[in-house]
Amino acid sequence: MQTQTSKVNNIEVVAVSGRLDPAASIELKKVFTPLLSGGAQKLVVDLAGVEYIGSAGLRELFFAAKTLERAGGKLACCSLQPEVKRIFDIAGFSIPYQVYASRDEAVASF
Amino acid sequence: MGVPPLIYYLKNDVQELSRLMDAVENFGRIHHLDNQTVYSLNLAVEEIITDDILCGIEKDRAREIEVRLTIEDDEVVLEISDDARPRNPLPEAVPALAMAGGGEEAEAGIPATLGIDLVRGVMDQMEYQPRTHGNRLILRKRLASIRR
Repeated sequence: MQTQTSKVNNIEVVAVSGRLDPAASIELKKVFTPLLSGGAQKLVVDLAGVEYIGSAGLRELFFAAKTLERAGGKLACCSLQPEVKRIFDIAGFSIPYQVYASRDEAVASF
Repeated sequence: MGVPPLIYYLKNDVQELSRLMDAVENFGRIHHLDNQTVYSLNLAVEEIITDDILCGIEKDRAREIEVRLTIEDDEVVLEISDDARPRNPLPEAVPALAMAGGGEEAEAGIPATLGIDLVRGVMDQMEYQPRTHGNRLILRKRLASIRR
């Protein structure tokens, strides 16, 4: 898994690529932690390059979203590949983040 | 018939999971499995083995998990066996979500069975078989087509 962090206006954008398996999910948490503890309130997670996500990856997105929500912020996911979208759909519980078709749409949602 | 199985042994170490998932992807490439099938197999591997490592763990002795992947007629069969105490994970599995979280999943409203629910959503059949010294799970997925 690889990540690339950038900033658009005051929105943090984390682009993730590769396989978001349990080991990679631990690494993703390490990317999120300094952003969240540094006071970020608007976070876009671009999953265009993610070919796989399981419950460990969903968990990290969930907890990042919850942390932002508690701080009055928001997390938006975007650009899901079809198989990844299928897993989001199967998960089906009330995820605290919104999903957008493209990064532009996600950024514009704030 | 005629398709050599993938047989993989791993210790109860979650870091080995990534290497096993690489092996599953390679198996899929060799046998021309479609992306959805390979994804489903890797999801099953992640959720079942993470549950096995977390819940079946016995720290006082090295445990080994055997993963066997075969193609039988029009389905792919994933067998996961271990030498832990007998325990059927299907009704109660704690998913990979629990890896770093403790009890916060329940507090946050994430279903405790999410991992196994995902597996149910992508596989066609799951069966638990207790063994004298361990457990075996057999998961099956029908193949839409195989390009040989």
